Amino acid sequence: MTRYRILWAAVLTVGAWARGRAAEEVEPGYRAVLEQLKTLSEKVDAQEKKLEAQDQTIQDQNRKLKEQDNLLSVYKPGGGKIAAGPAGDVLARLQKVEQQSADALKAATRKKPGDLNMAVGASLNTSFRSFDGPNSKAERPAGQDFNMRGAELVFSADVDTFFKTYMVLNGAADAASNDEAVPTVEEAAIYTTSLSHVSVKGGRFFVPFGRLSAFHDDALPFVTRPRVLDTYVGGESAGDGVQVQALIPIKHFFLVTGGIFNKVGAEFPLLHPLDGTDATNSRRNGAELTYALKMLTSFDIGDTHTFELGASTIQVPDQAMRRNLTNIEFTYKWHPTGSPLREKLVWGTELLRNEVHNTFLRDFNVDTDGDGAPDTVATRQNRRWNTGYGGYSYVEYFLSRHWSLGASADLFQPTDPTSSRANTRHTYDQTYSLFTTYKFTEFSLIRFQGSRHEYHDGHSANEFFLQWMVFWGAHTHNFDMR
Amino acid sequence: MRRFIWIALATLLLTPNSRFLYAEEGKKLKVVTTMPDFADMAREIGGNHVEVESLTKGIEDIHGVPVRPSIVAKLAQADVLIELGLGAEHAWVPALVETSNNQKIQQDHKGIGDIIVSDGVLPREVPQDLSRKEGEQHPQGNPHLNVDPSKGKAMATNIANGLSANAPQYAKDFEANLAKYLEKIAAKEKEWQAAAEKLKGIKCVSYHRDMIYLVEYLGMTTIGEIEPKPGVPPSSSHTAQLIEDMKAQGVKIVIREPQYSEKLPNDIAQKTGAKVAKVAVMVGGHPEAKTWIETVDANIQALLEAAGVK
Ligand SMILES: [Zn+2]
Repeated sequence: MTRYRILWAAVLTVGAWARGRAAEEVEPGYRAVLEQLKTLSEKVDAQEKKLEAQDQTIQDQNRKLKEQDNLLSVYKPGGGKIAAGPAGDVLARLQKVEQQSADALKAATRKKPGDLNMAVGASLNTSFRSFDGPNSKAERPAGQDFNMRGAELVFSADVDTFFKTYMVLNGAADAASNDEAVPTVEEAAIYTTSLSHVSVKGGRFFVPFGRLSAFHDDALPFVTRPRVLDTYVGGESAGDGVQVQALIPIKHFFLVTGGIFNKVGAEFPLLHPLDGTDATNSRRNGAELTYALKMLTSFDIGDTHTFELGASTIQVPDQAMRRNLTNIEFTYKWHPTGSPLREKLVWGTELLRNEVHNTFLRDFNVDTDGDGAPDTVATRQNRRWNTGYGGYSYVEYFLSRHWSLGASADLFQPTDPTSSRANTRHTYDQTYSLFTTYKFTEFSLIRFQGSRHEYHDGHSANEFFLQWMVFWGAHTHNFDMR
Repeated sequence: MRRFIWIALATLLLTPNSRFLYAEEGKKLKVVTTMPDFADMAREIGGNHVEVESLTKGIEDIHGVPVRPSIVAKLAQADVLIELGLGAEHAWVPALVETSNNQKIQQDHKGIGDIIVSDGVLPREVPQDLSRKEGEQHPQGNPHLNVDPSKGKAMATNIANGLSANAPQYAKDFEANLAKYLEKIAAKEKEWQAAAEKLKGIKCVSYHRDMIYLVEYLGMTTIGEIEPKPGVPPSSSHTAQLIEDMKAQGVKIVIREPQYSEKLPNDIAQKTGAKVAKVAVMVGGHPEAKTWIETVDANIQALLEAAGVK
């Protein structure tokens, strides 16, 4: 096209020069040629426009093709970057906007370093109880009793890349001090998050022993902890110490947890009874520490049946403080997948053997002057083995997400770790209960429980509970608390 | 004894940890997913480089899957965990992942193997108030975006990106498989949009608030749920109100998700003259639909049938 342009320019220049020289001298023939050239050039121009239009069409087509290409490449893997499409690429732009908004939402809701670097959860556990047994069998006033069983605060946080931590403060009404509820540190522990296969935990926490012993009160399926656990483990089952938990790296679930603690159970002495009672001046040797070990495995049958089998032990090797508590646990769970009602059944059983070897001082009379009649009181060191067997079994059937019904039996031979009381091997303390729970949501419930107690000394009692609990704030679904 | 304990501890702690390394050449990537939807996509994209298992069958309530110890063992062996995110699985996955002690799949992307399919997707209904007055189950916005036909591309892309990060040696294959899969979805989307034309403007209710993305895609509207709030059980007063609203607004469809009881949706449909449509919230909800694409197909078919516009 440029060729024609140069030609036309040349012709015009020549023409202008010729006209300028002597227009009147130009012959009519030359004028005709000029005219012809002019029309020719006009034709060329039109042709040129046509070609340009065609060019434009081709370019448009190309751009459209490219747009299609871009549409496909919007979701190009590798970096998740969205290819910037041309202006017409609405879809790509929409997706970009959505991505940016999602990022903005994340940024807006992200915690800043100055924000509270922890999660806080709380729960409240209260009950009304009616107990018709003798006062000596009730830990709180017998008869009618409102009880603030627990006001619990749970703090948890990621410490850094390597550790997580949590703390459980709990205050419960203490009948011995006018129902005052002084918060105590129930658990406070640090554990590793960066080791594979194993997790190491240190601080104060529930010892690896049995199943329900490691449940907080508010996570139990019934109002009161089975009395066998309270008695054999010794009230609180938290201890100060360290534990290592390992998930054996095989296809099958096999969890092993071992720990060493100062002591386990509030009712067990912290120190050797004959080493003295002054904690700061006493020496504790390795044999006087408490060792705990737990193994847990599980089997599934189809999707609906799960069996869990476990065994655990608590040991104090020292002869004078000797303690040997062992447990076998068996849990069966039925959870039909796709049950529209979300029915579920849990049958939990633990069997325990408790052996305590108590050293205690016993007074006896001595005849010092040899007159045949005792005249002085002396003290002698005595030892006694107390061995007992016990266990509990409960079944809870969840009719729906909201309603559940259950029954439990709990019996044990009393073994008192701190006294010289006679071994009551052939008599059992027994409790039989029925309970039903209504969960409004995951965060609130009411529970009714009726229990019948038969004591080894021949007493008996009926007990009724109405319990209500709420949970709020951050909450975690602990693997152990199902 | 004491020495033994220390040696055992030291050995455990110092054992070189091969599980931090990328999957080796020729070794299949072990993929575990919380929903069958992601398992299907991971198979499409991963091809024969992956070994995929879904922890659910698709007929569970994703907010309350029974916690089984065997899942811990599966997670402990996994290279990759693919989850929906937005808190949908908070009742069961976090505790299991923690117990598995598998550093690769630690959640919130702390482990390279944690793939969250809702990444980069803007969730709807993000609550302004963190109080649980609004129900207990959608604290980070509505997470049920896997039923949205238009979100397939984003989910598949997140999965492809995640797999590539975990097995860079196969990234080329993943990319190629993704491209093929996206084409498949794109072809299907034309059909789905045609169906949407027929369903436009039709009103419905569902059991749980898990249908908003699908309903919006189809141009339908949802006027309420049988659950008063997500995770809060139906009450007779709420049901009565819902029936009244449905009659007043001419609601034609009651969506019944397979994980909920049929009874109440049927009752409500009968009282209002609406039709019940079974719509799956996960692959597996329709027994015959094995893939995510087939499930979207089956869901739309069910709605077309219930609307009588097929
Ligand atoms: Zn939901």
